[in-house]
Amino acid sequence: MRFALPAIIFVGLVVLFAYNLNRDPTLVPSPLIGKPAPAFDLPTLGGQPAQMSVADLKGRPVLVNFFASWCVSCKIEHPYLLQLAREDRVPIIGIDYKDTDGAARQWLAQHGDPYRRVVLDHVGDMGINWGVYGVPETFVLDAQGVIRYKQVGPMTAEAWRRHVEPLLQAPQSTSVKAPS
Amino acid sequence: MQRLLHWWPSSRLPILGLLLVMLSLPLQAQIERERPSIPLTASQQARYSAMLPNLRCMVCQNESLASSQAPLAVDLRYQIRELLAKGDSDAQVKQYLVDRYGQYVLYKPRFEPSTWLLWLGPLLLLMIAIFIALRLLRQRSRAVPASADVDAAALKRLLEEDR
Repeated sequence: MRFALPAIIFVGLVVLFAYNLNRDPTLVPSPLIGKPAPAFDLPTLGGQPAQMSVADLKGRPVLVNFFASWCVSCKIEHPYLLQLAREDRVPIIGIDYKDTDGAARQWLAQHGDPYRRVVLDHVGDMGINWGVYGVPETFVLDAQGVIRYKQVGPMTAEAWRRHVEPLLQAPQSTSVKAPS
Repeated sequence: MQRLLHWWPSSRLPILGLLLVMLSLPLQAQIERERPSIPLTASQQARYSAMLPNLRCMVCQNESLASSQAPLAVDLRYQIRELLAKGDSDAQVKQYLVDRYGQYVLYKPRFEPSTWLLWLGPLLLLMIAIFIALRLLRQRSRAVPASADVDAAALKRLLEEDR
């Protein structure tokens, strides 16, 4: 009986540590989940059309992927984005974050281009408004332009299966019900 | 690193060091791109300086916005100067950051339902500790026998015998 309390505390700590072992402490939940995507109006790469704004993201679910030619982890996720684009699962909009036209163009030519459009956020203001704190980051928007999920770090097959796919399969009525 | 050092002749270690420094130069170049600073009035500047150490840099999370050289920290400092110059209050600037990055940017989180455990947790632990301590003390005082009926003469005799 004397050891009951220490034993309970020990088991509690084991459970706590085991739970946190697989958690990345640098991940910060975004306050933007469930909110309409923040406004932007920026030029696009290739200029077809020349500008793109948040209104252009509405109408169907889209993936908004922040990347940069100088970003190392972006290379890791790139093959998976290309696969998603090939399978035509969902339109992917690329946001070229704190980069230059030339570097982005060269990078896409070299590694392949999975994007419907590439928006140029050279100053990084859109990144700040969207709460981006490191590329790559990927937002899932529903047809109403509401942010449903944010993936910090490379998009992977596992993250897609666990977090993105259920959102895309969910009937659209769920997002219509919530007034945004 | 250990294996690399094994493989590299020790007489050429400075060269290895130089190579590593050269590798880090492109990263340095990312940092340099800074916009011209926005002029602030003396009182705005004072508020700016007072606010920065209390805001977390989201990239290198153990650094404040005051000390971090991460590109995002540079951008956010610029943004904060812009807001202050525009006439925003400290609370408005903080709200601007919380809206985008969450409570996590504040080194001192606000007192609201999601942070109740954080703020009241230590008090809760202290109360549990006091409760346990009181219970232990009560048990102990009950265990000590009453000592009034000790035979003083017998005690003295025993002590003397011992000597």
